[in-house]
Parts: sequence; structure tokens; C-alpha cells
Amino acid sequence: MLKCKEIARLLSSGEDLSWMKKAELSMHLAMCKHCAKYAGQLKVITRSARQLFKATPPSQLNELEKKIIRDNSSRKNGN
Amino acid sequence: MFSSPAFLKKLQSRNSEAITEVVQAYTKQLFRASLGLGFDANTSDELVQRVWATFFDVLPNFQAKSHVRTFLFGILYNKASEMRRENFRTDVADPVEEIMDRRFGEDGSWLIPPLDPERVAMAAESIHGIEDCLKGLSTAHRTAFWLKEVEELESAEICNALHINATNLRVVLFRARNGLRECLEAKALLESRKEK
Repeated sequence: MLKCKEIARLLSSGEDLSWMKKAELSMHLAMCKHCAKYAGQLKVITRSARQLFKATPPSQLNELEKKIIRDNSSRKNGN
Repeated sequence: MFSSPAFLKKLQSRNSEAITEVVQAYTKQLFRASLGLGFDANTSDELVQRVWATFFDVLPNFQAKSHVRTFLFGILYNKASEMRRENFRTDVADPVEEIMDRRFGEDGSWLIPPLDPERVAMAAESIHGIEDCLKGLSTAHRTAFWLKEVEELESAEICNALHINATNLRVVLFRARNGLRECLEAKALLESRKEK
């Protein structure tokens, strides 16, 4: 049986799990409210990080793209 | 498509259409990742230009063993570390490991249980909540977290970009996620003390 400490490490390290370990993890989360909260916190963190930067990038990006294209095309010609 | 030999050949011969395509495909992503790594818009502008300059410098030797995007993120990470003068090592102890150890008893069960996710969500969504906590992470931890959770890259691709193995990536993600978690819990506890 996996202990809470091992569950926390599995959840936050993103280890690839065998189907047996996955089943054990799901069962543990269904029974252990602390580990379920821990898993919930990790989901909150992912959601918040995604929301933070989903805003439209600033308009300066179009200019930046043009500059990069110009600089790297002109270097080819030795300019 | 960007990894096809025909496209790479065009890119290596500095075909302007190929350059335009690849720059338009990844500049926004690189800029967003740079903001995610904690650089402001002006520094991100400069950083992204440096990434592309390096990309085109080393392109003649690019073997297409990795995806163009992976290669670009790898350059971004190196440039960001250079700017911050950081060297990344996973063999150095990280305080978050000890903090996590203290949360469990000898039998492996929780001694200091986690707070309700709702409280952590409130802390994360408060002004500068998660942004502040991200600032507390090293560039390597932040990049790995970013690539995994926001860009949703596969672990193998992140390992390639950061030049680390799968074991190290697991250590890095454990430290990054728990660093953020502990920081947000501390913010949530501080808020509740203020309310009392």
C-alpha cells in the first residue's frame, strides 16, 4: 500500500505510472481527504498559472516578429 | 511540419518564406514563456530576439534530432539562465524537500495536512498571488513547470530542452510544484491571520 508521502511525491513529480499504481493512487485519493486536498491544490496551481498568461500578448509582438524576420533575412545577405 | 527535412533545408538556406513561417509560429510562444519566466515585456522582447539570433547562428548544424520548438525552448532557457547568471544542479539540496519531509510522520502519513484547495485558489488569484510565488523559483524550476503545465509539453521534450534526464525532471517538478504550493499556503495563512 502506498503511503501519503509517496502519493504526494507521485502526484507532484509527474512520474509515469503503471496501471496498477494508477489504480492504487485513485483508491487512495478516494479514501484519504488530505491527499485529495493535496491533489486539489496542484490542480489549482496549474489552473492559476495558465490563467495568468492566457491574456492576449501585447501588440508589440507584431513589430517584434517583423524585426526578427528582417534581421535574420538580412544577415543571409551579409547586410 | 517544421521538423521535415525539406522545411529544414529551406530554413538552413535562409529561405525568407520559411523564416517568416517559423518566426510567426513560435515568437508569441517564446514571448509568453519569457513573461512566464518572470521577465518584463521589454526584457522579454530582447530575450526573444537573442533566442532567434542564436537559433539562426546554430541552424546550419541543427540535426533535427529534436523538434524545432524544443530547440527554441532550450535556447530560451539557456539565455534566461545566462541573464540571471544561474547554474542549474539537481544534486544541491533544496529547502522545499525538507519542508515536505516535515509534513509527514515516520509512518508516511500527514502530520501537517494541506489546506483546502479553495483557500489556495483564493491566494493564487489574489493580486500578484501566483506571480509572486513563481518569482521564488529558480529559472530551471520555473521553466520546467512552465513547459509542463502551461505549454503542456511531453516530459521527453522538456528533458531535451533542459538537457536533463527523466529522473532529474521529476525532482525539478516536485520542487517547483511544492515550492509554489508552500508559498501559496503561506499567503493563505497570512490572509486568515489578518482577518482575525
